[in-house]
Amino acid sequence: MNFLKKNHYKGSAQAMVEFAIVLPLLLLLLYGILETGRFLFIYSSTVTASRQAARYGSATGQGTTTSPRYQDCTGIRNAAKAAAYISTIDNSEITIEYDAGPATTAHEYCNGNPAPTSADLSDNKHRIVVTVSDHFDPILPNLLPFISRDLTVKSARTIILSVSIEVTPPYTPTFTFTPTFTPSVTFTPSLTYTPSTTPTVTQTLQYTYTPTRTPTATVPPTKTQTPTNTPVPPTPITGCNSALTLGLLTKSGNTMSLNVTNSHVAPLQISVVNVQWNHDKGHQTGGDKTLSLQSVNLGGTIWTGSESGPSYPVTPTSPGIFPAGSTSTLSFNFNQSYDNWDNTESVTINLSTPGCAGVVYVQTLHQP
Amino acid sequence: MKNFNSERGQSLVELSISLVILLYLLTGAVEFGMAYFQFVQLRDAAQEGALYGSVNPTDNTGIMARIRQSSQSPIKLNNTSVVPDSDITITVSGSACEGNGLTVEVKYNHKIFMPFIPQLIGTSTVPLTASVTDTILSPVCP
Repeated sequence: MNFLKKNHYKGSAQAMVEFAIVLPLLLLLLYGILETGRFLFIYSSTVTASRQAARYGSATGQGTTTSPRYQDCTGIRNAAKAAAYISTIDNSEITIEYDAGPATTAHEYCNGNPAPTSADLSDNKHRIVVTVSDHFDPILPNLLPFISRDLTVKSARTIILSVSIEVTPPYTPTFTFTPTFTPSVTFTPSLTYTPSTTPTVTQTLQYTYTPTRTPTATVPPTKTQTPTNTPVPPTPITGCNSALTLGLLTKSGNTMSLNVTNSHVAPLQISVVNVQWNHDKGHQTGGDKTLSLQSVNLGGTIWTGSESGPSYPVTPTSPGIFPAGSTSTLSFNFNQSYDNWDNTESVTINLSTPGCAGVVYVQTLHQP
Repeated sequence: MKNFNSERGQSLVELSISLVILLYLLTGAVEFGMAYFQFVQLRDAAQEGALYGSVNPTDNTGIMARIRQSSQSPIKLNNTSVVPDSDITITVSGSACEGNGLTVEVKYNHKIFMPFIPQLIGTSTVPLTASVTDTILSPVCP
């Protein structure tokens, strides 16, 4: 700019001449740069157009239509056209072919010829080949006519139609059990009768007797044991004088009785009980007012008989025992009810337990 | 300002020097664009080879052919003097069956076409490498 300014301000003719000489050269240079860039742009667009068209046509699956992409002529062409900016690409400039690989026969389609089917391409080795032609003309055709040229670009891509991929699925056994049962009964009756007139009797008698006797005599050992009995005299006891406590005489029905309490630690046995009762007027009613002694009880019956009195020494025929530490009842039973006291009644108990012999207990009092 | 007035030719010299610098800046942008353009083609070719290889992993010849025949613009990939076989490598990680990876690598040395740049930066080519790995889909591993 200094260069221009200087000339403007100073009005130097020299500079004008210089500029006038240089300007066409500069413009030509600029034009060349522009034209080169434009050419490269168109060339690049053409290459890209054919590449994109081939890529579209080789892509697996379906495009916007229901047909696979290699059959989608419109889509392939649109992919090519989308790459062109400065120069447009016509349908006539796009050639679409398929072949079976490099150096094989190419079949053009999308120009009326049928498009390949999946059976044609099933080996995954076929290619789609798209050729895009374009023409480059300079902006100023008369200035540099020799740089016009035709551009023809071919791109090929392999069409992968489908690949079978083997995976290992989770094992799911499926059992289908269909029972098939066809019952079949075939009955073929057969009757064969063969008469025989010579009966054959075979009789076999076998008798086998094997006596087996094994006498066994076992004599057990005999042991005779003779027990030795050594009597041990009982140990005399002491304290018999105060062992018994005698209650009052009582009467009830046919019985006269008294309670005897043995406070000793040992049971005491009776030797003789001397009893005296109202033998002649004891009974109230009837002609016979006598009472005869029939039995004596102590725990159980210790004596039976029939004594008319007026007194009798009873010697127990079965042991009469006062149990230790308890009260027992000594009762006398008569043939009739004992109704009247005559104040002669008495009971005298003689003990026979060792250590107590000779001890006597007497009770003469009775209940009113 | 005194110098400009006294020495008129100075500005023309100045312009020529700065113009060269500007042009080479422009050149760098164009070179980068061309290299990227070529790289995109390499990548597309590697994708094509890997795609084919994902279902035909043992067909090295076929993969090589697909790579070379995928496109001829701007690089003539089917010309072995432009792209020698040693610049295309096909690698299978593990055995060539389902689930393993197949890597296709395509190399190309971009030739710097602007004059004097190679002398300036010391090399005449820029190595381009496109590497694409696809998972092998077929066949099933034994």
